[in-house]
Formats: sequence, structure tokens, C-alpha cells
Amino acid sequence: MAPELTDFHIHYIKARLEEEGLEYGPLKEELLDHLCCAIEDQMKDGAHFHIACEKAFAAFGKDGIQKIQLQTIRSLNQKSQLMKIIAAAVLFLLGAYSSHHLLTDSEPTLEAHCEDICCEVPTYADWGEEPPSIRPVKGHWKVSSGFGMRMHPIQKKKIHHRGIDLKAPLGTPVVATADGEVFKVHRHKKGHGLHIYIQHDDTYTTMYAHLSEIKVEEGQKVDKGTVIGLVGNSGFSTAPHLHYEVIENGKRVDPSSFMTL
Amino acid sequence: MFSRELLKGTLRTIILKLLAEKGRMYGYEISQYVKTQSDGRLQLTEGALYPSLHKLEKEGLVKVEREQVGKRMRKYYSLTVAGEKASRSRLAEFEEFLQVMQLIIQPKTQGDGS
Repeated sequence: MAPELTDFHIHYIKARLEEEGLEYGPLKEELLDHLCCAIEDQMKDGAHFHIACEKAFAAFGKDGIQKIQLQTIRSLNQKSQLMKIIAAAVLFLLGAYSSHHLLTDSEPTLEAHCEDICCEVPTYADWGEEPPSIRPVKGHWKVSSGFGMRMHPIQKKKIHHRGIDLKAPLGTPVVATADGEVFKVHRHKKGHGLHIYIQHDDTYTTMYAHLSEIKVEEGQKVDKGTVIGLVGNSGFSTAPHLHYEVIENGKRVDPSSFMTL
Repeated sequence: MFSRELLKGTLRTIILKLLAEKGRMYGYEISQYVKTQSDGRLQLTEGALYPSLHKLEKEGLVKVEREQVGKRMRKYYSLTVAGEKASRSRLAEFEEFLQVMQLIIQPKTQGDGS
């Protein structure tokens, strides 16, 4: 006979889902049911609730719940307010979380624990559906110029900014924001200076400019998080920063809505 | 696991085919079914499954029924009329594709032993 989860258990799972950043209503009850099923299956095999619960969450991978949420919303093409609010909230929460984390850095917390349990985390890229999702610059950075109309710092006139500028110290590692292939490497003296295009799939390409160093070659396959170069000041640039573009079906879109993880 | 080039585009076919066969299914059931049917060689990740289900729903190919199961709600998916049609044509296309691939991968020897 299948063990049935109690109210207490269900509330616990619900709270965990919210902690993981699940806010999108239509997914809430569905993922709750999914997790409950997975946990019940494990309990059927004799696992204790808390172990079964950790395993069920771990199966989603790191930030997996948020990824599902993002991909669901993205696949519905609701680049509306809701999306922006969620992306902003996620960014804010992650910011709060990571600054908190920096202070208590030495504690081996849940993350390490999860890695132990899930040696075989399924990757979303396996189904070819993953848009760029992480921040392209490791370490400290801040947005010095956003996407859209802005005053150009050198040309001193208002023009459309096709990407986002992330201010970071010279030599800060720049990483690929999704799995893909280095499509083009340019070493220009002007314009974007040293810059790289990475093709992720039929839909997405990303571009990283003004680098001081390029660490990949054309045609090279890269994983999400691979260091592809270093932040620099090459080309038309007044200070070390990364100019980052996300190209969706040939059209430049606002990268900030992709920098969620 | 198979490469993304191979898997891309097969997910919707799998979902539509399963719903046509089983009538109605919920998310976890689909993922478990695919896993057992493929002897664990095909793992439908949640991150791929749920976005696809929601998209199919938005496109009007599947419809949703909610049902109370124990102390929680369960979302069952089933095909709409448009979904049944899409399921048939997608499956036919896929089967034809498999046959063509077969012809290319294992070409029949031409003639009779020249």
C-alpha cells in the first residue's frame, strides 16, 4: 500500500518549493504533486521522509526549480511584467542570498549536501531547450549601462545600446552563459575590441566584448560556466567592463532578463 | 544520455503520443512511464517536461483537468481534438523520418549480388 503524505509533510514540501523561489502559480500545485509522488515512491522503498525529500529536490539539480519556472514562462512567451517581476525578484533574492553567503562562507551547507546525494543530475540542455541563464562575469560586477536607448560615453549622443555593460575589474573571468560552440572570435582594434560569439542552439547566440584576453578558439565546444576570456578595455571602451549581448532568433534582446542564476 | 541534437524536437512527439495512447496522464506519471519504457535510457527531465506541457496547453493541443488526490491537487493532461490531430500527424511524420534514416544508415544492397 502506498504511504500517504500527511498535511505536515505537504506543508513542508510547499514551504521548500517557495524557498527555492517558485512563484509561478500554475506550476506550484503541479511541482508539489510531482515532488510528493517522487517522495512517496521512495518511502515505498523504505526511505525516511526527510531523506526522500532531499533526494526528490536534489533530482531537480541546482536552481532546478527556478530553471523550470523560467523556462515555462519563457516557453509561453510571456515576456510581460510578470516575467520581469519574477526575474527581478529572483535576482534580488539571489543577491541577498549570496551576500549572506559571503559572510558565512565556511559553512558547508545544503548545497554540498545535495551534491552528495545527486550524482546524476539531469541536465536541461540534454533536451536542447536551455536559454542562456547565468551571469557572464564571475566575482564582483555591477551594471554600468543597461539595454536600450542611452547616451554613448564616447560618441556623446543617444543611441540604442544592443547589450548590457557590466563593470568589473580588469582580468575578471568571463564565462559562457549556456552550453554552446564558439562561433566567431574577433580581435579588432576598434569597436568591440576582442570579442567572442557563442552559438547555443537554433535560437540563442551570445556575445562578449572588450575582453583583455580570449581563452577559446573558433569551433571549440564550451559548457555553461566555462571561462572564455577575461574582462578588459579593448576597442571603444573607457574603462574595463564586459559588454554582453543576447541574440534571440537574430534579434538583440535585453540580457538582464537572462541573468537570473 | 543522447545528444541534444537527437533529442530536440522529440519531446513533443513523445508527450502527444503518450497522451493519445493513455488518455490522460499527469507530469510525474509521464516522466516515470518514459523512464520505465526506455529501461531508464531516456530520462525526461522535469525542466524539459513541464515547460513543454504548459506550452502545449497554451497552444490548445492539450487540456487540463484538476483532481484532488489525497491531500493535494493533481493536474491531468489529455489531448484536445486539435491535439489528437497533431499527435497523429506528428507521429506519422516521425515514423517516416525513422524509415528514411534507416534507409540511409543501413542501405539495402542494390541488385542481387553483382
